Amino acid sequence: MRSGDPHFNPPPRWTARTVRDLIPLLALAVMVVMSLGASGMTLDSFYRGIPRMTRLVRQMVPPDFSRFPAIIEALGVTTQIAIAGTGLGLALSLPLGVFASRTQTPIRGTHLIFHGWLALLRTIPELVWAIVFVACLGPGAIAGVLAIVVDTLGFAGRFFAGAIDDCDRGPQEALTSLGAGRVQILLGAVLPAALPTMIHTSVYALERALRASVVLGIVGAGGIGIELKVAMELFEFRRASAIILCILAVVLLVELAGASIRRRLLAPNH
Amino acid sequence: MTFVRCFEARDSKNLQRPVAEPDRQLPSNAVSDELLLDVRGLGFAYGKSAILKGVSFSVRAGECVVLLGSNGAGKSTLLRCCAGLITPKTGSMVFAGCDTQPWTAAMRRRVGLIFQKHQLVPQYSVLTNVVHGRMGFPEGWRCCWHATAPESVRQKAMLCLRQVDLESKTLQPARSLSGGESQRVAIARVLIREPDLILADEPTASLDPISGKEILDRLQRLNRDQGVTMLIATHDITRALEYSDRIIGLRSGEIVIDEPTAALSAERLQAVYGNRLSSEGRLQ
Repeated sequence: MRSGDPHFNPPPRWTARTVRDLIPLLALAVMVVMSLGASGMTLDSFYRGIPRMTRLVRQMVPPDFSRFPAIIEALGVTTQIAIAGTGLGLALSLPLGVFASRTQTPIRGTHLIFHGWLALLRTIPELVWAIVFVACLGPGAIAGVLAIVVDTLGFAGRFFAGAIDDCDRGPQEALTSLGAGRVQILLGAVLPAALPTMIHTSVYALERALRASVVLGIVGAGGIGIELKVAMELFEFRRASAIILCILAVVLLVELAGASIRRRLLAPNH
Repeated sequence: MTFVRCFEARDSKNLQRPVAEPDRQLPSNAVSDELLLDVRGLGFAYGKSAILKGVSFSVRAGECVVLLGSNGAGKSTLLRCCAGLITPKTGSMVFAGCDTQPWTAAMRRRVGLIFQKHQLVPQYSVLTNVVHGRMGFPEGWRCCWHATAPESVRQKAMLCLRQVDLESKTLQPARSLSGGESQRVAIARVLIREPDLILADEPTASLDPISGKEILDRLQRLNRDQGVTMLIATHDITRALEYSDRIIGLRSGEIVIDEPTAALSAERLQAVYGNRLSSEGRLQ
């Protein structure tokens, strides 16, 4: 190596471009700090809240399971809302995902319209959808199911479209050379490649829907939410903690079932 | 790499070959006078970059033609045009007496393309991948999975797997196969179509020398025993000389050689590889 020769010296560690690339990160950090300040969150207010939180936790133990049958019944409704809403939402997400994908959309150039529509569904939170459906259809599980369907559609449709677009193009090209049609390419090459992401998304959608359906009950969309709301409003914190523990158990069960589904469906087969 | 020895080997092989008597019946591998593929003035460009510039050649039925050329010479693009995967900007192509604009399903059924990286569906089994070969056929709508395919197709797929010695791995997922095995599955996927023309785009490029030789031996047997016409793109001059009836050399999108292999000299190959190939046939 010839020292001093510019061709053999490594480039400088920091250049004007490096600094320019860091500007967006710095701007983001400043925005986070400013937003925290604007929300009134200070360390002082946090410290002052600790004794109250401790008192609340003390009031919640031991949990009161005296209304266990009613809790289980309401939890059953919540779980059914989550499963029905997720199932229907996922079934609709698959065709929508295909239409929203850049590479597989049957009508070239229209994927942006479907993308926009999915973004609109995602923008409005499920709680707002639940309020809308309760107002339209009256209180009950049907409003909760529809809110979950719409929420799952926006979320899963977006991920399904992404998974379809990210597939390896090689096998698709091979099937095209074999004379395969659009549907055959989708079933023969795209879906098997996108399946792992789709399964992960579906299981996560179910877990998400279960958590959402608890909250939906508070606005009258059926399920355990209303039980939790009443317990908290009547300061029956021990009963509330029993409800929370039951919800936790169901969420854990769903997560375990999800992991099992992932293992079984992603095992090599066919 | 020395090619002089390859040329010598080829010449000695030709000398040992018995001369066909006029009244002797031609073997199945005989090259007929019928043109299977006739390409005239083919041009293709990606954006403003011209890849193929007025390429013209023809392939007779039963012939084994090798496309030689360095990286970027246009071999893969030419094969993709011949397989109907991309539409040329200029020129015309006639396959089995029919104009290929547009490529019809019937024409496509008679052509099989083997890719450099085999391009199997890794999640599916070996058998399903072979069954995929029937997709462009009338029963193709049932050929996404072997479980839904007609029994005749499943049996044909098993025969093709036996031909490539992979019947023992029928239900293994394609992702568990080695590179050589995967390429053999890709050959079986083409064989199930019973094609008249097999296009192979550097089928040995991602394989070790032994697997590569095995694949080319199989393709040669298909050509010799079953009379399947071959158009194989490769970088490997040694094997091109060994396996082909004719060599077409591409350089910067233009044909610079189109000669029978038996008549080709090391000096002529310089037209393809330029200064990188010495007059003695050594790649520098």
